[in-house]
Amino acid sequence: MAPVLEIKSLVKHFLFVTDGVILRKYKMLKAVDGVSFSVDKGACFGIAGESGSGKTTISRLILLLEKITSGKILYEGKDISKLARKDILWYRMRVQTIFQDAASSLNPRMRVRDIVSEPLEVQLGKTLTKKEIMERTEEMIRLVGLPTDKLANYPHELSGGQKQRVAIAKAVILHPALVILDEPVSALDVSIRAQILNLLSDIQAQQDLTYLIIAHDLAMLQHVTTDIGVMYLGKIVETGKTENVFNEPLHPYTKALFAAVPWPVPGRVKKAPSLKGEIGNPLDPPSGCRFHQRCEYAKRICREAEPLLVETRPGHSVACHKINEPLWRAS
Amino acid sequence: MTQKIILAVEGLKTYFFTRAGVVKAVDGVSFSVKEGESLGIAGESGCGKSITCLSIVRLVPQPAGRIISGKILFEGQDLLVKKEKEMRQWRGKRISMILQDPLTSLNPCYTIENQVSEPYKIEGLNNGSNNIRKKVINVLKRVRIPSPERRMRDYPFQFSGGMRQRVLAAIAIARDPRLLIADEPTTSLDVTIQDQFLRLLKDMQQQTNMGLVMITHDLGIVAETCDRVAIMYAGKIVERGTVENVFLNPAHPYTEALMEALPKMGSKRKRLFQIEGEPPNLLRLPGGCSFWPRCHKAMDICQTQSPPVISLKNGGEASCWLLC
Repeated sequence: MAPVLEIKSLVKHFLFVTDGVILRKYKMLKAVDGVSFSVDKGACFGIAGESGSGKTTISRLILLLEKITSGKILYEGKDISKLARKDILWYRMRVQTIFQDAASSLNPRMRVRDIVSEPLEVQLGKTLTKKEIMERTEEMIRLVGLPTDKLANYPHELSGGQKQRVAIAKAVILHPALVILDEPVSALDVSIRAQILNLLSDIQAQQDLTYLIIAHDLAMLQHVTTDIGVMYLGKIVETGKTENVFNEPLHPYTKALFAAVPWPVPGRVKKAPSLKGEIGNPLDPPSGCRFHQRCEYAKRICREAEPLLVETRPGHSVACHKINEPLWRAS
Repeated sequence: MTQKIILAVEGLKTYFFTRAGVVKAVDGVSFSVKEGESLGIAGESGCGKSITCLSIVRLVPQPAGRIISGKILFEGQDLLVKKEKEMRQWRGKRISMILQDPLTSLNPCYTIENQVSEPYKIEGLNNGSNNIRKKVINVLKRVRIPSPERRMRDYPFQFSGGMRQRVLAAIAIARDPRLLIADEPTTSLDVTIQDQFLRLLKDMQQQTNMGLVMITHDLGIVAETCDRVAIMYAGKIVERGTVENVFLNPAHPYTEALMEALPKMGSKRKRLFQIEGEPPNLLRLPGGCSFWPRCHKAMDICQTQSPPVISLKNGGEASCWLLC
């Protein structure tokens, strides 16, 4: 199947003032540093990683909220950084987003009706009548499982789960092709989380959507995604089909990350020791493999050379010298 | 080995009196913690787990909040009849707390050394000698802060989230408390850092044999760090027992539903079980059992009468009409 979204060696550096008032000293913060992946139509691609790994920056780049430093983002084969003004409007109709915190992403001074119908007004306000817009808004609000009398409410009158439903309605009302979800359920309670995750998967099936989910909750990602990429300090260290990556994680970081997740199963004995140290400083990332300082298998080559993302078997790629070196020797 | 019970809470009721009405934040909660044991209190936001713990140290927000009735027996003495002056001597010395957000719990204007030495100063240690400094270095070593001699001169903003949380743990254990209350200690941390901190907490507990009350919404954390668990819903404990029993054979429909609703690592991709509706507004609780509007096994009696607390065969307790 043709990929909806293709990301090719994407780089985003932020200029960061480190010292000085008049004679400023700058450093480059390498938030995203050479990331490539593609999302197939109808897939649900998950990006996992700790805070500071650059996962949210990727979503902001895809949404055209930041300028790309280098690399390419192709949407249906078109380079999005070269879109004309008119085409940007079209692109924004095709790609929508749901943010983490619905409470702060919904305008507190707008009623639910106006929030949900706003994308329609902006994009199709000239072709649709007021009545048609209202009909589609009501249909959407029913689709996300809210009673239509909530249309007259303000966001603060809704609970956390209801706000997230409004955010979903707003995102899918234009029938987009791709929806980017940045931590869609992390602010919600367990019982509400299951409702929203089920709703998202229903809507995906019904509207034929492609999802890109960014989250740190690995158990949730395993449940909802078809493909996954694990990020560490601006790079993807392991990517592939969700079942491959979860059943047989290869990269030492992925292994440690999976081992650190507390399972709601009593009596499970943790085999792996906990990962030492903390995520490195993106202003001054470690040389070679960025994970080498925390890695128990680190050798000289890990400090000196950066490992490349290599496909070790169909649908599973890893960037690690320990895994890839034997493959080089064999070939 | 029979362990001594250090904390026994009996029929605790903490209500908030607001203009809109009375909020029964904690409504008849009973549990106990033994020496060297860790109890998890789990539940969704607004179920009263934090207020339960603030009640134990008598720090319920005044004047709206008041402890209406109940007993909090700490090493046999009722904390609720103590004077505020006496309570101040117990807090930090006998009972300590670690709060959720380490950045707001630390004062940004003072060095780590200054803040960690505070418990020792309160104890009345002599400041003139290097006495306190040695103790500070010692306690920072216990929470595994690398090169504490150098790091203690830093300010909180120079520490990462995980390190800040360790500083708070150092302050909490400085005077060797018998009971440590940790209120969502790892929610602001990443999984790998959370793992480090939870292991540290377990190690410290084993060294000192203190009791631990762990408040969390993450059932995974409960399963990995606690011996016993109490599940709260709308101000009441709906089920309590050993972690094995509650997780593997949940008796209460709410516990059962929670376990089903949780995406688990290592399980296949499938539709999650969902609990319908939302947690109730504590100002307008439904009659009878608070959970009945969302319960998939609700009966007629659930809507009118509160269920009694039933002792289970496996030693746990649950309150549900189904078990009668």
